[in-house]
Amino acid sequence: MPLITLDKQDVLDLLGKPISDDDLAHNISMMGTDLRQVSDTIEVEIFPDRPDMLSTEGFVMALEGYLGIRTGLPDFHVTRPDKGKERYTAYIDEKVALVRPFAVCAVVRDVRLSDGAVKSLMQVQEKLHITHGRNRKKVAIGVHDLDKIEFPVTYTTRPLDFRFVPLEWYSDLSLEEILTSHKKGIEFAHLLKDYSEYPLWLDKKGTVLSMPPIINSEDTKVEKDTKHLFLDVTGYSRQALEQALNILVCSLARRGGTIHAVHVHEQGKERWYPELNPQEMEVDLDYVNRWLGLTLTWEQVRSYLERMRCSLEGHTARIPPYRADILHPVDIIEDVAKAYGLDKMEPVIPRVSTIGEEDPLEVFVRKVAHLMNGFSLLEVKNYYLTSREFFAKTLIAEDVVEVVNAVTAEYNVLRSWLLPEMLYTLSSNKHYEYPQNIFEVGEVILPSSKAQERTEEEYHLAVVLCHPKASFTEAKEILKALAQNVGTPVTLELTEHPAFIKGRCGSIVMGEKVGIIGEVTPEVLLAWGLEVPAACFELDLGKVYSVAVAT
Amino acid sequence: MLTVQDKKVLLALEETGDIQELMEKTQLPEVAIMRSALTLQDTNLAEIHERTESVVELTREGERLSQKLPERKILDLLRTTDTLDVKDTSMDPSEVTIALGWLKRKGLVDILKKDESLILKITERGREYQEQRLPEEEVLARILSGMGGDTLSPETLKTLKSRKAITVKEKIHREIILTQKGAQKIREGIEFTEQISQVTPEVIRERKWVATGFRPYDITADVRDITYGKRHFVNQAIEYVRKIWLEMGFKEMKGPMVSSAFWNFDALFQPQDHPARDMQDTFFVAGEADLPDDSLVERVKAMHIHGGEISSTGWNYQWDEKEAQKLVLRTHTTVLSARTLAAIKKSDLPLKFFSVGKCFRNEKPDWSHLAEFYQTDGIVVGEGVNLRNLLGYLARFLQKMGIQNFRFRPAYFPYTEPSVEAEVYNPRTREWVELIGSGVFRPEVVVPLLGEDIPVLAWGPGFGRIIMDYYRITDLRDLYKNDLKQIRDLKLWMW
Repeated sequence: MPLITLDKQDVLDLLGKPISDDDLAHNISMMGTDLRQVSDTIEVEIFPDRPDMLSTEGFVMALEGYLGIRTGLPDFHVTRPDKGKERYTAYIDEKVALVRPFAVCAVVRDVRLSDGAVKSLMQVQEKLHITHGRNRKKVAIGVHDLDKIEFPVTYTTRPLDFRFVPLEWYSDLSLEEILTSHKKGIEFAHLLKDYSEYPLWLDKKGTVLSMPPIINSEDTKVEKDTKHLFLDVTGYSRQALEQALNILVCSLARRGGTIHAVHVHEQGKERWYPELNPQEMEVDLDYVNRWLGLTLTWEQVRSYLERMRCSLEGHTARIPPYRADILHPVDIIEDVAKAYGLDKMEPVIPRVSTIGEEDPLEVFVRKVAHLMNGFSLLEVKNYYLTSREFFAKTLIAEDVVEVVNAVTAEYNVLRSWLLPEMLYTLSSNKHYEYPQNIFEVGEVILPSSKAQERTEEEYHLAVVLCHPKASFTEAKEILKALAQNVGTPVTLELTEHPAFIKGRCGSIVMGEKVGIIGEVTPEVLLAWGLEVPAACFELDLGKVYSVAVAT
Repeated sequence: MLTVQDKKVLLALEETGDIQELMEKTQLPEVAIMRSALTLQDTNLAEIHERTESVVELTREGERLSQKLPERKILDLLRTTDTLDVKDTSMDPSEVTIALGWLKRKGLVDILKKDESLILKITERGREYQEQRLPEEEVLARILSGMGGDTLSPETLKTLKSRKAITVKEKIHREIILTQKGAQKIREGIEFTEQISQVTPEVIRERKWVATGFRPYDITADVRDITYGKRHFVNQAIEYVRKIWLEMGFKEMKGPMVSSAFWNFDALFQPQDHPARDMQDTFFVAGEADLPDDSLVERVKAMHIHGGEISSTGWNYQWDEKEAQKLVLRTHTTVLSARTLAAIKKSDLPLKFFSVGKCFRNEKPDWSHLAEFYQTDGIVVGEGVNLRNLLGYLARFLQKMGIQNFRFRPAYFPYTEPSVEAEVYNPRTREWVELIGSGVFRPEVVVPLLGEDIPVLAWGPGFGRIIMDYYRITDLRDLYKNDLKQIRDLKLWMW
């Protein structure tokens, strides 16, 4: 989730009303953002469904509603000239379809670029790029000085040897050079990989505005005395672009800018941007009340929605054009809940009569664990994720399920046996006295081509007896007592496994083969740095349970 | 009451108080003698006298110095002359430096600079010491002849210590002295019939205790720590969490830890380009999963693309089946809630389910993060359940976990709406700390799985932090370090 930092004084100036830090902290949390701290700055994490709150102005529009300072749908007027008198026209060339297919744009005049406004504009642009824009892949934004542009402008492509001066550079570079030499070019080169021409915004004179999604040009850059702005947004999802554009123009308008429509010609179609009509959604009062467990009236719902900067006309909610999170009427319900205040909602447990039921294998495992305690065995608890090296050390060569992208090699496989990690446990407890007789119960994960998820889980019990006189016999005694207690006879069949001493290793048969028992070979013990003998068994409790309930 | 051993020692004390000699006389080991000595002291029959003695030993350097001090070598060279050029000493330069230092400090020579060379001139004092031993030489000689530390000049010992020539150790010397009362006791005569210490079958059978009685024990004496079996403390806490839900009538859900992205993300309406699905947060497993039956996949897909048959806009993008087939380690146990919703029938409602299981995050573990952790999910499915009910269950769970100071605030999860975070107040940092993510499942989640828009309350708290607080553990990794002493010594989970 993106963390933004707001200048508290700037926020208070926009609110136009002094608010104490405690009130700010409480209301910011309760309206639905994750507050970090309030001091001279306000640090807050914005949930990914509310990119509109990434700008100071967008944040203020939400907060002033929640505080009841300015409620209802904010009014955004878009100046749109009559046909034939268009001042701002843009063409979208069909060549961009193969590279970066969609573009929208807008003009905002008379912006007062105070320090607060500039900081906010830079922050919202950066955060929108990262989150809403998926690191510029889905959405990239360019902001330009309108007075340096001659209309109409065109969004098109140019070959890689085309040259212009990118922002923060001293001379012109070819498009190809920008990707190899310019900091931003290097950072985002992967977004234009393998294309023969790159996207560009050009004006009537051929001046470059920007090279989306990489860099703007030096020629149209915004400066301290810039008064009017041209905004371009390009990417792969028209809906995401429109949302980003609306967030930007509404933020600028909140600071006093005036929004002017751009007449966009796109493959024979004509559109006007920005499109700031409120989104509409039907509200069903009964649905709201059923969902929330409240008995609100239409009047209450109206006032709650107005505090969330929506309006209610008849039974239709009208939603500000910068909101990107209203997919379904439940999203309106959540707005009602936030305005009502989750802290004011009385918790109540419903009379839903159901019968509790535990998974039978879990019950069985618990009983076995208690039995193991009765044998003076101490329970240990290791991770499911472990290292391939643990298995190699234990001379277990069977297939394991591998994790392909682990950040650390400590965790590159899922355990298929409990034994290796238990030997690790013993190796890290050598400074304590013996006997160290331990057990573990837990799932192990095995590869399986048949299963939907390509893996199967077994619920294992492993017992490791470690002390100077630990022996096969002692392990077998515990196994025998376990079998006695689950009511299933146990027999052993001589077998071989590299982890166990030859001639002292057996398959455990309880109806079917359920596990293995043996004395751990000295090679394995030494590999783990252990000089004390260890006898062990490990078995599948799921199988034991099936046999036990069948008999 | 004296044991036979005590009595043996008491008798021997008439002849000697020396431990070594007592050992020979009584044929008892030193510990047994000391134990008896303590008993005798407690009953005023003897006293233990202790004195510390310093033992001085020569180091290697000390042995070397005791042959001849470097300053003595130079004094010897000055026997036939008053002055000497340092160059003419034909000694090791580092040794010369040491020698000059001491000669100067002790005022045995004057050091004159002449052109490039240093000239040594013997003083009156130097002449004197040509005829007698320097203090260090005196002490070194005494040490060599075996004299004790207490008879030697402390000042010179200090000098020698600083010259790394000797080590001084403290040694405790014990002697047991018979008191008048002890001597009296011996004169009165000592009876050697032993009281019974161990109750044996023989003692019982032959009624042996009747004549002698039993020796009383020191019941206040400490005993050794035993090894014993016990459940791991995390599992004790898990048992309790399971019990909370079971008591409230919840049924257990189980499912695999390796999951298809379909169940982990898509079925929970997380768009395929959602940042949470990123490589960085999620462990991926090689291979491709089989997806569940086509109609379910189609319903989920339609929901993502255009909101399916309900009044939702969906996410409006291209949905890729291949993306859904990726295998991941489940990032939340909410995946089990999704699977359960797909498996139940509307006619069985209302239903309540819980799970306790491991989830995985691809993070480098540190004190507050683990790559795998427990989560306990719950869902309540039924017409008529609502957000206030969700808060009701969360409040009850928090109270049962011993948490009184909590609040609910809005949150965001792609699969719930409204979404609620339960937070706990930390009075130390004066901050609210996130504890339970929860909400009402979106219709976009419920309808494709269950077939109808019925409220489903859902939550999925981790509880590692609560376990840490209970056991006063400050590093999350210490929950699973498997230190056998820690597992044994931590108190029981008392609820």
